[in-house]
Amino acid sequence: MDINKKNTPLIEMRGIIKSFGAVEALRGANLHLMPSEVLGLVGDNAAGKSTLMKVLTGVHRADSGDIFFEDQKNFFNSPKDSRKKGIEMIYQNLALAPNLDVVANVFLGREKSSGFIKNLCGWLNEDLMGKETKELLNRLKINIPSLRVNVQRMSGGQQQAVAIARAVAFQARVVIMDEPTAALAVKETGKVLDIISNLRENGVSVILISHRLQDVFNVADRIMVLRSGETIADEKIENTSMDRIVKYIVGG
Amino acid sequence: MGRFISGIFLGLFIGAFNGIMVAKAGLPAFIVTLAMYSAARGLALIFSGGLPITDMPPEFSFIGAGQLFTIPIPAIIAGLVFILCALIMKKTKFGRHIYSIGGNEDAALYSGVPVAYTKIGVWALHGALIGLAALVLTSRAVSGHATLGEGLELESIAATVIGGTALGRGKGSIANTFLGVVAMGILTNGLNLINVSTYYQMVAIGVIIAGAVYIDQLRSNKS
Repeated sequence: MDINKKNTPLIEMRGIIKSFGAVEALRGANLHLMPSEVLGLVGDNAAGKSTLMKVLTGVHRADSGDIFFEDQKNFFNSPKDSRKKGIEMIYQNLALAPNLDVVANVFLGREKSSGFIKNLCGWLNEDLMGKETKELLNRLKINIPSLRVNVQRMSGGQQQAVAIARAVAFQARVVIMDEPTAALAVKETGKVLDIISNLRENGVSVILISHRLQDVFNVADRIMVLRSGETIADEKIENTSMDRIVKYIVGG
Repeated sequence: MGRFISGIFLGLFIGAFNGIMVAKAGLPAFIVTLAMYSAARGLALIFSGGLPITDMPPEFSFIGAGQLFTIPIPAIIAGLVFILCALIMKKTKFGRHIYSIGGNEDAALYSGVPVAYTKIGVWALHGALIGLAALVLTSRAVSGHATLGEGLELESIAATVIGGTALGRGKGSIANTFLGVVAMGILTNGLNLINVSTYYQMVAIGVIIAGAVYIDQLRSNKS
């Protein structure tokens, strides 16, 4: 059973087609993701990466094609729907409320309260949330000095780390990251990549959308190239090279 | 008693209606406020025939002019409201959601914060508090008139921005707003005492609002 589970994909998307009016964003894209795997998703601008992820998480509905989640045919009707199954997407700028502290951000929309009366008033249980945030960050080996600092006072890398922690705080099994390192300094990029590796060790699968091939080659197990809405390459990192991937991307 | 409470509920319903216009119909908050400002005042003038209502029961004046252990009742009401609002903002999910919408509405929405309901709740609470304030003001004036609160809307904005609330950025606190209210109170009272005409005070309030927002923007650009 366990072995069997390891060999079947967690997510499989087949022949996804999606048009916006006259624009064909996806023209039969395929994708599969194994448990505890980091998949790099690359492609030129407008190749369809974001659209494919939005179809997966239920923001858009595909015109045709199938999505399987744990071997079950499944279409998600909304991001809420896919989150319930443990698929979390971290958007570039939509992840955090800058005016709130780390704990508040991690628990945003899922705040905890305790006791009957306190529950009724929605009274926040800050101690419990603080404790759980600390445990979560330790588990992911994320080092943030103070959990009570507003996230806007933190570095870009720390903010990204908080966004990732937020995404996996509630039994996420798949985390989709859209350009998590685009705005980061080299040292911070390394830290975010370390966190991604840690996610894999914790049994979480990651889809990493990135323009930085170097980052993808550093952390991913497999790399997939989209061009003009089609999957044109899907190769293990150890069997490919950056030159090959670049050629796929630009269509050489 | 019921008649007085109904004023608060009327405020609550009008506020909730405004909130629905903003959160569900997608109208800009500023336009909704201005539109209701005109419509509600018009209705009040229609119902009162434009005349002040003065036949109030004598016990009603207690709300505006009464005292409890030498503390004026309006001050006690204001104090309780400040404490209640401070607790809501800092200690409850509702307050946390309000801050998160101010900070990053898209993030709040994506995180599962009930953005529309939170907004409607804020507007409804706001309306109820205006109803309460109107009750106190009417009792103090011992007459009800549709234009009694004219100018207070700008004074309250001035007090809030002086208290450091950043408009639309999820920053600010009830404690600081309290200080802003005290500052505005001292200022207008002081201007009254040295016989500055209310016309000049209106100019001062305009300058204060613009100045406070400008300073706030300078500060936030720096950080």
